[in-house]
Amino acid sequence: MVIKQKSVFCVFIFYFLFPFEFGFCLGLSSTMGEVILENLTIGATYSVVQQSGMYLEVLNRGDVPVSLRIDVTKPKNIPEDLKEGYEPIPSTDWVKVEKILFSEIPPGEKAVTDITITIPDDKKHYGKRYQVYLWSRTVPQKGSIVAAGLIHRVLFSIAKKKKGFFGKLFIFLHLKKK
Amino acid sequence: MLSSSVVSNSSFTVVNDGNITETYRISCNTTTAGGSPWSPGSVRSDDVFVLRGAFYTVRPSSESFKDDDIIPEGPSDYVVCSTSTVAIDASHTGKKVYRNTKRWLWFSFQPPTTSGTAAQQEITVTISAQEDYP
Repeated sequence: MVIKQKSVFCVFIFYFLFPFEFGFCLGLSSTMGEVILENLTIGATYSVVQQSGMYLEVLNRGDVPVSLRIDVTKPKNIPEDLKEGYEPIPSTDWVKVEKILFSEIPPGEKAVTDITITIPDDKKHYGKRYQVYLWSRTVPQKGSIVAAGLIHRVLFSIAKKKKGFFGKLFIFLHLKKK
Repeated sequence: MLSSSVVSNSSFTVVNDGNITETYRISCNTTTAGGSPWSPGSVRSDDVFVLRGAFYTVRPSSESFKDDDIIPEGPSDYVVCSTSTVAIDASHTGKKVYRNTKRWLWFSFQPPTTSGTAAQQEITVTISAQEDYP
């Protein structure tokens, strides 16, 4: 398994509805720009935190408290949206965000959650490479006409074969030897 | 018949102050408390408005906005910024925005041809950043 951690990934929006009277900025950043998980097994569930120790963290870098929502979305099947060699995840139901809604995150504070991925026990997924998005975004407050968002890309590949008895025995003996 | 189209008087300033290159994805939603009969679309009609967005350094004319600048309804749909979409021309776009770079986003709004409500309606535009492919 590979976790690719990018540094700071963010968007800032400065909003001036009535210049000279009122304006504010919304800003989000995250260290999780892209995650790559390799050789997942069909029929298994994976927690990104358990696998890597890495949480999905979103920092409020704006100057007002914001509520945040995180959704799982499917990329469009277009070249601008898909990384080469990957296809959109068959169903967003495979991916669960532990906590979807965060209320009133003060400036400088983070929303933190885990993600789990469950691969259905179906051989048709052997060797496939799928892409899915986690979309974190500010929930608009009353009177606000703009929201800031980050799109975190999750890429994963599925092993070509499920580990059989001898494969599992090999891993067991290997771990015992250590 | 409501008025045909209007361009925003001021822009949103969108800044990438992270340390990677990113591309923006944009969507909109009606967010009026208690719900709204309005919805975004690509052709204005009864209770359907058309919202277009374009990155540009100065206020564009309403004729400068094109159909590929239309902002669809999120979260299931969005427009991916490119050198031609959500842009007046390739000189100022939401694609491959380098770190410490600013962009100015303008809107053109066409209200529904007829409105099922006389109350003020709220529309929220969500501007989302994504790490650009290397």
